[in-house]
Amino acid sequence: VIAYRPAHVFVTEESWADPATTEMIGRLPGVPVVTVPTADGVLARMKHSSDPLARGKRAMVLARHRGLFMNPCPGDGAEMCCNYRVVNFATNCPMDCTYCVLQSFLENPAVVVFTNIDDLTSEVAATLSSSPQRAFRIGAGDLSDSLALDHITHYSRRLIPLFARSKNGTLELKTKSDNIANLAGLDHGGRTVVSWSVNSKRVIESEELKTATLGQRIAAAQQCQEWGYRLGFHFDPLIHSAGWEADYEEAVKEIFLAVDPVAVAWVSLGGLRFTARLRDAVRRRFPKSRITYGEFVPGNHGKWRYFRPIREEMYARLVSCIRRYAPDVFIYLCMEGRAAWQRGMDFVPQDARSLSDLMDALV
Amino acid sequence: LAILQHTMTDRIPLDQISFEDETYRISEELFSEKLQASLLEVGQINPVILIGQQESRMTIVAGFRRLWALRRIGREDALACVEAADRCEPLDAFRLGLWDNLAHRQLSPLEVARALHVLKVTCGLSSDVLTDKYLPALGLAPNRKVLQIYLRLNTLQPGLRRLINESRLTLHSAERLALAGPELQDKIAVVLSRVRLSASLQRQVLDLVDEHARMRNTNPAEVLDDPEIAALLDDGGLSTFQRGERLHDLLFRRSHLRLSAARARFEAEKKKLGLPANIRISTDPYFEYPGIRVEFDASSPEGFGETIEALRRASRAPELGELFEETQ
Repeated sequence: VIAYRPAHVFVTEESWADPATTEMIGRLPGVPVVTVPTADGVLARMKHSSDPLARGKRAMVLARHRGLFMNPCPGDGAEMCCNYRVVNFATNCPMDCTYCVLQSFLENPAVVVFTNIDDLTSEVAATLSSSPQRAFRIGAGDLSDSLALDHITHYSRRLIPLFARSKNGTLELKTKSDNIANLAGLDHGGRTVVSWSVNSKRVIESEELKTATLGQRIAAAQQCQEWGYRLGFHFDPLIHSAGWEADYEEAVKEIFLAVDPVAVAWVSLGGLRFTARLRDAVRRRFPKSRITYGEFVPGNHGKWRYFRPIREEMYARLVSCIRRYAPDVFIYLCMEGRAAWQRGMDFVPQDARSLSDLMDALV
Repeated sequence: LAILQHTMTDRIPLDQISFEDETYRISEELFSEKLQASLLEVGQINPVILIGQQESRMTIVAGFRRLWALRRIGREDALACVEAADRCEPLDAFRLGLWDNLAHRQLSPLEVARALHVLKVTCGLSSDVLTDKYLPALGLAPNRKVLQIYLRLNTLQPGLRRLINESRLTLHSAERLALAGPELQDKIAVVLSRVRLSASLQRQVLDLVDEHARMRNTNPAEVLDDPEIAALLDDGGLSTFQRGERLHDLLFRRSHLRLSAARARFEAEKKKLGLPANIRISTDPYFEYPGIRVEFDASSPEGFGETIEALRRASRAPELGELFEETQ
């Protein structure tokens, strides 16, 4: 994978006061830098493009984030939610997955990186120390990929040691890249899980544009395992297309023949889901993609999902396949209700709280 | 307007007018019964506007419907303002016709589309001018997307145009269909002319045709080339509204095979319980949540007791377990 390099960097006036700004610009020699009053000022340059989202990805904006960096996971409130939290150091992603939810709600199509990283780390540290008896699983891959920008931000080198020092926090870095160089040599203290969002080779090739191949992701996972990190794999979104059974079996086999299942903290499964707005964006931006055409029905959170028996069939098949290679690995469903757990999984947590407790005990 | 300074009003023989040249036509429907009746009753009150071409027949700028009506009722000439072609810019000429129309009637969406097309293609106006000046004059928001939509509408095939004029095709659907090829437009027009669909159902039907085509890797016209659909459209025993609903149901079944099968099984199991009509059993329409919902009406204490008794009998029936199983 060719590491992301923006065509332009826009720096908001106030961000020049943050040391992270000059550090990041120093890692992008030759890229033109423009100072702008606000991040929104960059919007005007993109709005007349036929595809502002694609154009936006070529521009990196360095700006300060106002407000809280940490939030409950968007799945919070679902019948069976794992009580995850997300922390955002950036919005948008240099990759271009056809199904990406960001394209339906981000107002600024540029890749925005927050320069007040010290505020972020302070907020995380304060949260962890405020409830020392409580375990926190915190993911950094909600509004952006956790590692795709890391060669520019080096934020992993701030976050991983921060969690290593905590006794009740686990960081999950979730990525579709193989951008792991900065993770080498860090004292992670076993408090960071490096996760890959994975899919079948066919789906990666046709729907996950500008991402690492499955082989590259697996090789990166192997390397992280050697460095002592716990691993995670997220088969999400599962796509129900012709030949899905064999395609996913192949992916599962390649992953678990390459990594030691003992090093795997968790594996999640989730069927494709989208809002009507996202569906329209996918059809407009990726007219050749067929993923939004299928037996979808309206479900909770205003999202369309595969008809439940289809999801359950996919989950059951994947679980059975994973169990062949990793009998003891923890597998859970993301944003699903009890009914799908009962038919698709080999165990059902009593409730959301018990799912959360189970996962806290894994790390 | 400079054009008006040189214009003369005269009676022009109809055979000197080119009825075939529709460069400046705005009117979607050229025949107007009311206009014809008015001309028969009191004659032509306002002159039409023509451009005189040397050694050829005159071009109509404004008054298409009046001229067609005059010809239809057998008149041989018309009162007209005539401007020489060499002194007349297309834009000046067309503006006369446009403002003449706007002064006395509301243009239909397709007429607005025609007007914008003429202003852009024949008169050469830029999109900015059309957006900022002409869209508000035509009663529309000064927005570039609105302009694109209306310019697209002007490319619609006659069958779909007819449906818009009859208020049987929504503008939203029309805009979407304008992106389709002529063959599909014609095919959709044939189907829609034989059914009645609410705006919402119309959108769903078009969605389903599109989705079904993509799921089968075929084109939407082939989806509609189907004996079952043809039989449905020919079914004289159904009203146009019933045909519309059945068309939607048929397309939905085809693109939701498993859901439709589950619904059919649920209905079959429900029937086996043999409950009276005042007890209604349903489940989540998409089977997302297991379980059933029971509703009933009772108009007297006796009726209430009978209902409870019927439910008690059903609770002991083995078929009830099957019904629940269908929702799991």
